[in-house]
Amino acid sequence: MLPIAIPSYIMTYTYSDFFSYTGGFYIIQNLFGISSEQYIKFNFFNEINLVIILSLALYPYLYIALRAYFTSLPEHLINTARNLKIVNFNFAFKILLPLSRPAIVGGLFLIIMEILNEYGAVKYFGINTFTVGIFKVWLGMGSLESALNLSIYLFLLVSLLLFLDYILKGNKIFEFSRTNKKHSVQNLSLSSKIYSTIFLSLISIFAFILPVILIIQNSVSLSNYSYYSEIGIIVFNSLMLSFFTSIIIVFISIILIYSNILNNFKSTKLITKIATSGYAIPGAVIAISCIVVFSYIDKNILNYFSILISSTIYILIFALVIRFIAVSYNTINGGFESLGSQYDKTYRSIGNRPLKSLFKINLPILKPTIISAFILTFVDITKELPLTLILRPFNFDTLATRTFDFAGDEMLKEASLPALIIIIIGVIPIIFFNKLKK
Amino acid sequence: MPYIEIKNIDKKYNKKVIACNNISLKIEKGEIIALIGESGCGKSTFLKILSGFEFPDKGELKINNHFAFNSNTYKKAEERNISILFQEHSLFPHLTIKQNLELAIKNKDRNYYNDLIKISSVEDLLERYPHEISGGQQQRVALIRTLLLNPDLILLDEPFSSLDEFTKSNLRTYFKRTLKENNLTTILVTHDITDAAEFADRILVMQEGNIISDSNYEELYQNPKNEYIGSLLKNINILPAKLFDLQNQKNMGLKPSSIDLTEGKYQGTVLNCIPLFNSYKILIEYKNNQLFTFSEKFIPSNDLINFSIKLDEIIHFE
Repeated sequence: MLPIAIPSYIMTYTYSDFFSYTGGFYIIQNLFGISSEQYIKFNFFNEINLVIILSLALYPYLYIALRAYFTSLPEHLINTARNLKIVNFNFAFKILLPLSRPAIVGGLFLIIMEILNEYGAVKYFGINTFTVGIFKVWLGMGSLESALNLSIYLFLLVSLLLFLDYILKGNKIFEFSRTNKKHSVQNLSLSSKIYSTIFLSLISIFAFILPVILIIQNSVSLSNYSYYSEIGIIVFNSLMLSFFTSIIIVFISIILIYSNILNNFKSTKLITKIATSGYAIPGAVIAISCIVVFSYIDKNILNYFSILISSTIYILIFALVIRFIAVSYNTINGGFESLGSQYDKTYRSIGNRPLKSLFKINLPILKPTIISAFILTFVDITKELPLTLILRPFNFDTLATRTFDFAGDEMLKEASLPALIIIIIGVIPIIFFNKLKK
Repeated sequence: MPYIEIKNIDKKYNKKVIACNNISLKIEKGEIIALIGESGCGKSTFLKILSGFEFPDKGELKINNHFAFNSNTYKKAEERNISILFQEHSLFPHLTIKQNLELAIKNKDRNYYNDLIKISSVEDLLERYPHEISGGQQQRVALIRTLLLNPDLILLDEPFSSLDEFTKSNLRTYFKRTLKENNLTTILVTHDITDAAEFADRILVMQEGNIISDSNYEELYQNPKNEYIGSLLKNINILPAKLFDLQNQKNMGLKPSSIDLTEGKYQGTVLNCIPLFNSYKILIEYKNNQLFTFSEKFIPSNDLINFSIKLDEIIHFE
């Protein structure tokens, strides 16, 4: 699960450095006495390697979805399969995987969204995707119209995927009662134990341990005081941006959820649905849309008051709220759903107003859920790259944008410290949720 | 030689909680056994041990003279020819009924499958998914799938408990007839005495990991050994003996038929009179205790009623 803390662009820069001529791959060969003429050459910059890097960085999305699904499968169903002598690969392909289609589709959908949103890694490999195209025509050619066109195409593609996701998951045959009972553990044979340990160790090493070691090694090898003071400012910018935006997001999420609980209006539900659909829209599309909308407002309304809000931090915060409100909304809504309405109704039935019930009953009980939502949103904002790159005010850097800029200038050692800080921030929720589970 | 022989099965959880305590049992071919007890008494663990989903600490299981497990042998669940049917989740929700059944067919069984489908009247359900048929139909299909496996032993883990009373009664009859026709040896685990009474040839009562009674329903009802068995039977009154001035006993059993409502020295209040098919079930409060009996006449609630008890029919628990 830990690789989820490493954004894919950071994973790309790290492995690029590792396979560069002065990187670890060739140093290791040197240590084994291989001369530079005999080095086993490795061409890092090809599409297959990008696919591998993105797989290593993004597999946790599927892992988390599937793990939750597998553990919720009733043990009786698994035992019935064993009783019918359906075991091992037969069990996996006949029962487990077909049965887990909603989780697989959900996890894959998240991964596709992440890849569509991806900018740092694909740009570094020189591969033209929709997001890279939007950047090129907007930042490179200054053509807002072309950027908007590309954004619309990308938005249509995402809408199609959302529709497919809805169709594939919305099948009643996958609706059966889940369990939260722990499954009894089955002992693996010795050979299975060895194979699975080797496989899992390799995944852990390449997806987390090795990149983190390389980043730490690069981070400590720099001793430039002006660099550290610059990083200090960037850390401050990132933390403040993530902190205040997350607070706004959590606040709006609570208002949306509680409004839906109080009013069972279709209009409220529709507004909520629209408000929380931003997570599926790539950051570049949201950024371009914000530029179009706020340029219009600036030109036609605020101009009369001599105020301009385009290119300010407020637009960036606004766009981040649109992009990440779903993260907080879904987490807190899950909390409200599992809490049920009985406490709220009981408190209100003895003459208390809904707002009082929210602050006195619901929010205190849901404190851990709200903290979880805040942390998740905070981490996502800290890692976010394409949207921040387009909308950041002049001379305003975050950890993500500075990592990207350093890497773009081939200053991979300098990119390591901000990258390391992003990873450390990313590990926090994993530790937090593990503690919460215990 | 018995068809199934279970010897000295022990199972403890965390070295403290006794789930099975030295259980030994012999079952004849085609016999249907019901294992009854309160929740947590160890009956499901016992079933899991027999089916291979739980390891026993000790003991052995021999079917048709072959060991499924003993101190030297241990066959996994999928290697034993024992089939288990659960309360729910027995059918895979992503497969149609036909596909669910086909999981249990080997090529040579095709004719048996076709015959079974015809006589079980599930032909119309074959193309449907489990969520498209009722709970009772799901359990019928699950039983047919179990039969297709041609198992040495069938274990039924509360298969009727999630069903309504009407479906339950129909299904019990259907299951019993099918199992008897196929001469299949079966153990049913239940906490409902009606299941056991209607379904089984023999009823075993389990308490805290021990089998404390092994008899048929008639013997069990006529002579429940202790208060625990009495409480499982549900159709007798368990009352403090001092209520009727009897000495040296804590609680005693009183069958409804041992209460005479025509006259008597005890006076109680009618709490409720529930109409049945051709009689009434009368709930009476007597000295802060409740008892029930049956009457052919309607007696209004809150009426005072005099009754007597047949002292020679009182059940003295061990």
